Amino acid sequence: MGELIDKFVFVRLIKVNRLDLSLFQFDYDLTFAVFFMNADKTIYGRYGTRSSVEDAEKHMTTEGLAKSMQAAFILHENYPDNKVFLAGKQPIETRFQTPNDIPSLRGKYKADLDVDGKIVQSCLHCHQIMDAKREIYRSAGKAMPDKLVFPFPLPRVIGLTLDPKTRATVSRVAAGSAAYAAGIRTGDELITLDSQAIVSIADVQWVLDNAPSEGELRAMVKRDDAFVPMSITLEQDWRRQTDISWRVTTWPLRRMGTGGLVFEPVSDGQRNSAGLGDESLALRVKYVGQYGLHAAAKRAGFRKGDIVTSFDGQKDNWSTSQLLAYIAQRTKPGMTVPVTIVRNGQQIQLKLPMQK
Amino acid sequence: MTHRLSGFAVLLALAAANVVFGQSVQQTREMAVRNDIKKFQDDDSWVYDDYDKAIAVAKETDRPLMVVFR
Repeated sequence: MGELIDKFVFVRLIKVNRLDLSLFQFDYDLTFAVFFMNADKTIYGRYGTRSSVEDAEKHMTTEGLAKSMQAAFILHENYPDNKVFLAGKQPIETRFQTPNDIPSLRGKYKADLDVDGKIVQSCLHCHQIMDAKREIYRSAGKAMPDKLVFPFPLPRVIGLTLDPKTRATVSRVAAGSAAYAAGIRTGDELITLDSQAIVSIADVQWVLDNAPSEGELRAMVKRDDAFVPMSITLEQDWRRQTDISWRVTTWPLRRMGTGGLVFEPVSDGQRNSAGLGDESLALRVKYVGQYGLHAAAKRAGFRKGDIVTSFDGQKDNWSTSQLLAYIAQRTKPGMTVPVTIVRNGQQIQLKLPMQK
Repeated sequence: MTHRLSGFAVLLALAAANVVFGQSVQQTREMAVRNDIKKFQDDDSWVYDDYDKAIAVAKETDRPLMVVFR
């Protein structure tokens, strides 16, 4: 990274209270995000990826960041001749110019931080931007679109695992996945995706975030010094396989539809003990919220250890992500949802209020 | 150069520290934020929280920007 240091102008932005949402569009669940840009605000690429609560740095390394910087600098050196490969990376049209324009955030945060006072409380968190966008739909009783429920899908949703120590080298391709069917293999270097020059895993996520619900994604990979074109088929609803359970933005979703319950997968042993088949819904209550709207499930009679086997009549073997998506898209505030649980071998019927 | 390298390491570590310490005591978090501000404000290799200034420097020197949100 040393020789790259003097080639960039480094700017640290610590507050998003008046973030230009028409320019800076990224995964707002991140705690570290980078934009590589020209002074005319043309985006060369993004960096920063996360997929779990416990391991925030899993997809980020200084080595990988250096390679992304290198790639971004090459794009800068060839700009503007390479504009066609940058077109898809640019921000998309947005309804809100700044977070302050989003209804539930309006007037809540001043433009500047309270540096001499309560600095933490004066700071809008990035994830609140996503929360506020979702609340627009929830308050109106409308289904949230897939793009809001499943933001910035990871490459693994199409079967790709990329080595975080590289720019975008494939370290694993899941058998039977869309990437595998397209012919992508371990060791391939992803050069472009959807005609966009890829400088990082985050760039792949940007492509996926803006990809259609079904269709084809063109890719160019480098394999053994040759450039090989590929076509990745996105099957209908591919995006809904994305895991959102780790995101901090699931906290408001749990307020809206689980009454504050936090779930975990059930082990095979627990499934057998409860007499549940492999295809049955089985989400174990790991935590019961204790305060305010997050205590709705507690008030409804739920307890830690309960296994949910039916939610609003749905009994398929859903993940937490799929359950949260159902809540976001198929329920409305004011509804009461019937929930079946198994507790100490007994089936119990409870009712859960859907909330704003 | 050393400052920027250590700065990146600090930023990546901070991303992990948020996970480790989670919802730590408010006062500790306030101190962490203020210390972080001081560290980077004193580091002249970073343009600190001034996007317009960074744009001007980038134009003048024909260098790309690396904008870090942290």
